[in-house]
Amino acid sequence: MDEEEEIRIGVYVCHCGLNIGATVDCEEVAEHAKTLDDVVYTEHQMYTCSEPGQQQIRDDIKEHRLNRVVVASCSPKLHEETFRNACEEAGLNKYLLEMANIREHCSWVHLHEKEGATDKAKDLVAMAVAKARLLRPQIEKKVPVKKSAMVIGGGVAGIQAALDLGDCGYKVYLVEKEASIGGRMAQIDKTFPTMDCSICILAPKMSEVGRHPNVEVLTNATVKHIDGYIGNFSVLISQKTRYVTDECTVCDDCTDVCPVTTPNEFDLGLTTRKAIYIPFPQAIPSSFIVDMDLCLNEANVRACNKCIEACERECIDFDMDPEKEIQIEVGTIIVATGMKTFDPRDLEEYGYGRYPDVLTTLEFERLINASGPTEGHLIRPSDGEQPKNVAFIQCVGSRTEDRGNPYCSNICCMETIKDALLIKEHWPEIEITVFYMDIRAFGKGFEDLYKRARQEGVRFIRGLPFDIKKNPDGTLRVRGENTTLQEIYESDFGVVILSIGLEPQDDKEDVQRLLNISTDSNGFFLEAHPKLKPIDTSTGGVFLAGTAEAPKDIKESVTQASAAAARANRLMIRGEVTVEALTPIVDAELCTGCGACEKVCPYGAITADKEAKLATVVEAACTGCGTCGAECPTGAITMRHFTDDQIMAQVDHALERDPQDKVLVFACNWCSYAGADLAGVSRIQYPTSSRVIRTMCSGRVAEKFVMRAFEKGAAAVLVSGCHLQDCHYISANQQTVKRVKRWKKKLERKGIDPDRLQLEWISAAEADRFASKMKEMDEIVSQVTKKDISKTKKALKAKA
Amino acid sequence: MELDEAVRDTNVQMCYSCGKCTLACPLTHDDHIYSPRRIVETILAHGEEGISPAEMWECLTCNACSTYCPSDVRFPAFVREVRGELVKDGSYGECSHAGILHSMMRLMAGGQLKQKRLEWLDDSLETSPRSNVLLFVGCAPYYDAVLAEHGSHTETTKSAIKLLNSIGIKPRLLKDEVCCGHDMLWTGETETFEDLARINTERINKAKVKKIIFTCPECYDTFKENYKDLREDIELHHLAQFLGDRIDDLEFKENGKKVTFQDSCRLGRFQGIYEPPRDLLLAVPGLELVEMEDNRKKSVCCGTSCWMNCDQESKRIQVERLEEASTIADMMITACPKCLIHYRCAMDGQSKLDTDVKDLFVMLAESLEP
Repeated sequence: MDEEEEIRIGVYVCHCGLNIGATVDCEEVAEHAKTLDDVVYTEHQMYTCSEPGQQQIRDDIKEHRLNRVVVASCSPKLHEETFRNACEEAGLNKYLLEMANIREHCSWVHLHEKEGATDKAKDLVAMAVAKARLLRPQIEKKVPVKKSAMVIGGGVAGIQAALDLGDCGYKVYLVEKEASIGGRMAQIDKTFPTMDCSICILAPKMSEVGRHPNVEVLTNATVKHIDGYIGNFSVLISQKTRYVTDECTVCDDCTDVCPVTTPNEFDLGLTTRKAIYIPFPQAIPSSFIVDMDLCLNEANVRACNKCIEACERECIDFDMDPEKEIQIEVGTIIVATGMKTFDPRDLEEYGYGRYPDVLTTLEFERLINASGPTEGHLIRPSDGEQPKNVAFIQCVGSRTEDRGNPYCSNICCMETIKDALLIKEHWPEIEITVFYMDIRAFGKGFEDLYKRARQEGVRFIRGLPFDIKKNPDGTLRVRGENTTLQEIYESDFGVVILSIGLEPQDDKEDVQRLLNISTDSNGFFLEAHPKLKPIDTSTGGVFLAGTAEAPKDIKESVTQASAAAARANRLMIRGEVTVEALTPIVDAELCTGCGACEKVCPYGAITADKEAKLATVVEAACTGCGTCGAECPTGAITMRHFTDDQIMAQVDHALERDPQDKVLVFACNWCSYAGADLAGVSRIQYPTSSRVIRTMCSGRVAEKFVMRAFEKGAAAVLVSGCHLQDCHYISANQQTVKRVKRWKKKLERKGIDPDRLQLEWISAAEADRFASKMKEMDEIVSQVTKKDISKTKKALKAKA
Repeated sequence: MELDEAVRDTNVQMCYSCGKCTLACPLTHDDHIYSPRRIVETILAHGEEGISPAEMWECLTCNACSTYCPSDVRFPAFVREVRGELVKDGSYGECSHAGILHSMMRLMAGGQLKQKRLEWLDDSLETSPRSNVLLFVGCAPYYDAVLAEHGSHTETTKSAIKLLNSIGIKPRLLKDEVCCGHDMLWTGETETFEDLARINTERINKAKVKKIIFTCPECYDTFKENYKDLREDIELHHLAQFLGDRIDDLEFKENGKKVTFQDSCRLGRFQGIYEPPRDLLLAVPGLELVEMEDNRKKSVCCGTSCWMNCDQESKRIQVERLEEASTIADMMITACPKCLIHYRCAMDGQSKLDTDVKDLFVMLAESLEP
């Protein structure tokens, strides 16, 4: 673009119905925008994102010869794409759009402070205009998308996703850490609301995916490392060997002779298995496996030969390498890592683990299953007799503040109703009582099933038992309050079944770090947007399916899996994807080749040549975090779309008016900015003193930004980013830690209270944390005196 | 009244009406239901009109309900707030012992009372006015005067000093401490509590001590939770916890008794101290510790609180507990002076109860190697 070109900015302030308009005086904000440099046109609209709203922008670009557009509305995470498209359609490069987030960061979090919110909105618009004046058009790079996918987790969600993608013609790697695919669904007897036999409908899918020419099933395998980016992931998988070759015909001769017995995990310890075993009859791969943690043989030690001798086809080979590494290249990844069930031992008043006749719903599934420990007979584990009556207790470990999980686990009500009907189907004479707080039968066909249970005589009593005690005759006494009748019940049951909730997997953090995705406050993986991008994650090319995202039933898991496959297909079918133009440009004249940038780059994407006095960027490896830009001592590095000049302009305009009352906040795009957005969506209120500047990573924040803020008279500055282990750019925020420490020391040396500069890690799910940090920062502001500020200004100017 | 605020602050509006609290409450039995759930539902529906003063005074504030509540409804704290408002309207609980203990607390709150607080100290006990470890004596000397028929309570304090001496600590005692205010706080006499707390806070802050040790769980809990102006660097310890961390320094002689431990509400459910008293008992060679069925956080309240509403319900709760203890152990041990007094009182005239009740520290001091 011609440097001499006249800058003509159009500013659009959106009311978003009453979402912004009820709190922020949008007209006043638009009027104020008119006073800003280079603004030639302003407008305030009911819904800027609507088609007429967008059309107006397109028309105005032409009519008023706008060459920069600022939209003050919701978070850029929601509608930046929308408005960028509108600009492009009118022939304006999409990088010439800037947004001011006056909804999530303003109206929604200052609902009752109209004046303060309007004032803040003016600043946010001024900051956006200041940045817009310095924006430059950018050309986005296209990168190829590999036509192959990895699905992590071989439960029903993972199987469905793998099948859908395999059917589309893509190479799919289905990675499962257990010895067989199938997941939880394989353990369940019947499904709800239709009483389908679970394994009967799952097994055909398992074998289909096992036989699929495009799907490679890797069981006993875990993902060790992932490199790369959307469309181009390099994945290192580690697979433990089975010690049994593919020749195995599952004849069972080996298990007969194996001397080692252990509880069978598939039957939740209600039966036993041997050290050589098949997880369950329908297992895929259909083959035995040696559990080397239990087998008497060890590497180089052959203590027992019994299975080898028994195997006529000679399939058992203890000389196999215990583990092999597999390197794969994929374009997309689907996370279908599933969940675990709540362990009710902590609720000791229910006696689980102490009384054998207190079972969980999952144990019940095995007990009532034809291939389970009792061949489908419901018995009391204590004496093998059939119980005369059975109680179900709902919400065990769910909807509780400190003795389980705060959320509703979604499936337990219908699980219990289905189980109660199963019992009634086989043994109508068994009396069944369900103790509950609320019955949630919200899905298609659920209410019908609930009604059927009532028709069959299942008793529903509102009021959770306080405790369970064992009677001398072995029955279990359940005591609680019938809250509808306001009377005490004390009833005896042969078996009590605890309807346990679902929890995130123990290894969720490993998965989270491998993929750079976030978890919500309950530990489930966080979707990119709760309504409009429920399948995507914050990492491009990575999608979610099944209970890894939230507790859900089989139908929902399968639906989400197909949706994830469709999202992955959308990327792969085009074969290429554009990536944002955020990489740095090195000014050869200013660069001294000192190598400071090279030292801090987490990707090895910039290399400095001392002799040539020049640093070179490896475009394909660079992800645009900007930590090199923050480190460069000569200012030779320009971070595209987040340039020093642009950020300095934002700092200046944030602090143009009453800086002594303000907190300048640097928030990283992936975690803390998203956390601030969530605070808005959740309407968590905090003081109006903050002004947020978004950077891709906290590693982009340079000393001069912070010092300029203090020099301009800011009362306090907050640098915020992802939690240390969760940095979206591997370890770029480690640089932030070092730098902030250094800057605090510098402030102290200059006689400035270092506590006015704060560093905080806030994840995308930590809306509360963001809001409470804003309150804390506001407290700091209230303690900073005019004298402190003038002293600060002087101290920092002295240096300059 | 500020009912809305009390409802919000104590999470009352989060009640899911699951009903667990009703059975958790020791007042609920065959003929009588005390349902915190129904009480809060009624107040949520009818506001002040829904408050039954009798039910508000009946609560033992033992925290069993809250311990099992999935929604973290803090019912005892809610009751405390409502009581404060009831007192303003002239509604009080029924005082036991002709109200003399309450009168003493109010007298102490004036701050002018010259007390003979430390008359019971004898030469065998080593204390030091310069020590930075303060032993908060509490109301034991008053109990000796008013409740002498239930044994000596300064005996507990003396035992505490002996135990501290045995590990080389000569504690400091204050001549002019006053009641911690626990009972005033929990019976709604908030202003009296504030006065008592202020007097103690001023005198202790001035005394420049580093640690305060308590023998009474109620004093400990009140200082910890409700003394807002106490110097922040002062460490607070219940003696059981303090000694529990120094078990290796204590030497006990053989004692062949079979004992069971009664967890008190303030030490157990309020402060979560369950294991230290048990660890101390198990450190006595030969001593056998057996548990009643409901122990630790499921422990049953001793039946009355704040010298108030002592009636046949209290006696029922106490006797049932003592009966259970007597079937499994020679002796019930407790680390709370009020549990001790209440059980000893209940034992009077219950000749069939073949058991004894003893304070933890008295028991431990008796077992010290000479």
